[in-house]
Amino acid sequence: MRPAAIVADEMFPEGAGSYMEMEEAGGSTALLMDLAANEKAVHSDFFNDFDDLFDDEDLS
Amino acid sequence: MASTLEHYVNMVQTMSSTGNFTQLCDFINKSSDMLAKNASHLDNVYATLDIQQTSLGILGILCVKYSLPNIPDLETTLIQTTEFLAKCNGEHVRYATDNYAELCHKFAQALVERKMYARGIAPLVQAIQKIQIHPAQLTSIHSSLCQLCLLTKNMKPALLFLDIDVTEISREGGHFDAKDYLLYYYYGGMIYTALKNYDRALYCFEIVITTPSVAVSHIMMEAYKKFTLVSLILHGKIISLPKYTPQVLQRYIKPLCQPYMDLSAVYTQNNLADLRITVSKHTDVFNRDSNMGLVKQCMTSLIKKNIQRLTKTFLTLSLADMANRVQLTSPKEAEKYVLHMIEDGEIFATINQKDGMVRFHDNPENYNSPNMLLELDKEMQRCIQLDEKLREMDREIAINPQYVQKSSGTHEDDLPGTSTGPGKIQAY
Amino acid sequence: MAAVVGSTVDYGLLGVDLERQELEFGATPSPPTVYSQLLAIYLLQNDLCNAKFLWKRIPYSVKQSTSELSTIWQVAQKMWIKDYSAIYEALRKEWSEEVKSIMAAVEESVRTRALRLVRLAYSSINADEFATFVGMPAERAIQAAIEEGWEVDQNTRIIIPKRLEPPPAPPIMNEQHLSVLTQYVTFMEN
Repeated sequence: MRPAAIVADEMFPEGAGSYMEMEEAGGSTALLMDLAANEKAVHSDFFNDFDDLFDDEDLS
Repeated sequence: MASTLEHYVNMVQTMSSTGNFTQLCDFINKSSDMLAKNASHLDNVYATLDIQQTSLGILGILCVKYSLPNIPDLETTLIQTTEFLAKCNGEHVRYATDNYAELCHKFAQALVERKMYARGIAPLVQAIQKIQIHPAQLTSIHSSLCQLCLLTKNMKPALLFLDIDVTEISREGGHFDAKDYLLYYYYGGMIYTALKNYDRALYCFEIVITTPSVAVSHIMMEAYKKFTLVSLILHGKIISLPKYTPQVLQRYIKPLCQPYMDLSAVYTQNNLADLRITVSKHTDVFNRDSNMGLVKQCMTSLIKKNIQRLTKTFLTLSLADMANRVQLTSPKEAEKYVLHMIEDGEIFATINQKDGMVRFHDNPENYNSPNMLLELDKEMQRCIQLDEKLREMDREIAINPQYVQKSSGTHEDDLPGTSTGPGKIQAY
Repeated sequence: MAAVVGSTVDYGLLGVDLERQELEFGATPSPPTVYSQLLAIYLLQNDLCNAKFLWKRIPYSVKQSTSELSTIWQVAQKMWIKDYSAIYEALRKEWSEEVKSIMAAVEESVRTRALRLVRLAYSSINADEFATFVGMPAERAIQAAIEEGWEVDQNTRIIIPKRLEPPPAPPIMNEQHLSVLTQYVTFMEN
């Protein structure tokens, strides 16, 4: 079961509304998206400093 | 003890005993500056207050301790936090879910910085179970627990939560950071991948990359890389994503994952030698991303996939011929692959050592056995339960004041039902 | 502490208890027997992923002071690469009292699984090859095959394993079943 959609925050620099009203690719809304996404890359500092946990040959 | 601190203790004790929790939270939040100024006496206050009776007062003190520039006597603070999470009153702290979650995050962070990962697992498991309203409720603490489990390489405690599908998100102080949501499923996907539960892993990564967004999240990007590799390992191709997948994925994230796109493109050509070339070309990237282990598993999975493809063309095949066709070094190596695949139920075949041949069989399942009926029965029950849950959630949304307001087109800032007191925590 | 391991011990429950103990010790190393027994139980459960991660998180100092941990891990390494003759060789050790009965059970479960795999995967198999699967000298392995009622050609030393029988069918809940079906039909019509 998929959890309910989450509330607007930094992933929605334009607010959730702009996403909700967005149509399929093309049209003027797409341009708006480009601008928003270019300005915003988030979570660049998230913790991802793990060993490779998936190496089947690593049995030492 | 300074008189302001005595006042704090008195207020905490009085309001706790009279059950004035909302007001007490307010008072505690306003006292944080004062508490920070009296940092050296906080352990005295901690000792004076009773953990069970005045949980909120202790929570306030611990939060202030972690917010100080240098946490004084960290060891004591860690012990106090562990004790607090084990003994605090769940009913009380539910009035301050935001502070409670913050304490857990800071506790976890302090342990991560000092590489004492294992120490946080039992306390955080307790902390989550205490604050959850029901087991299917996601809190922001979940992501910290998964992080510690990965770091200490002890995956099982996280499964206690990961194995339950989330139906509700806790509103901590009226808010839930998307980062914690994404991290929980990203780390969860890693945990399932580490335990080779690829089906579930793929589900977790898919949740991350299909979360609505118009910004490029680095968590989504890393999840997409792992989604690609796990999808190749499990299905031999990249599975298609649902329609609601955000456009940022196609437009920005995929171009940023070019080595992975190269890998999956060449994988679909089914040529092991070519795949090896592509892998060696991007070895640096795969190593830097700590994804080389998965990439190597992709190479093994291509060999298996190519053996599976042979079953579509041949009824019998010599091991020597098979080794040749799937680019293995010897008939013996081919036999080993076939054997492992039979063991794991990936093909239906028998090996005849007398003449060095493999015979492929049809799937023995004819869907007419009592076992299959039982299986079908279980699936039906799950569908019915899912349907019931969906209806229930739909009803909840339909009577939600914010939803009603929005769908009827009226706008008022002062909405009823936006309070985040206990019992009203709800995900929309 | 549940360190006494008799033949009647439920290893599944013991494993859960050991996992809990390890967590309670937090960042402090657990007593070595917690690790050695838990590692052995993961092998018994053929849970190689959890065995591997347990091995990786056991503190270096404990591995140094308790050499038996490495000896158990050697079994796991061979199980991971499914090298049967190496698995049996790694299992042939003097085990301490704490893990002795678990390791004996590991050997038995490895042999049972190998036997099942041979029946599933081979329509014919060389006696020497079969011997590595069950960890016995070839002559004893042939004898065991005969006792299982398998066909053995003494000249070519080729063994024809008996095919695996399908698992027994679960009982169907007769009258109960009708009401369940009714429930399904109602569900699908809505």
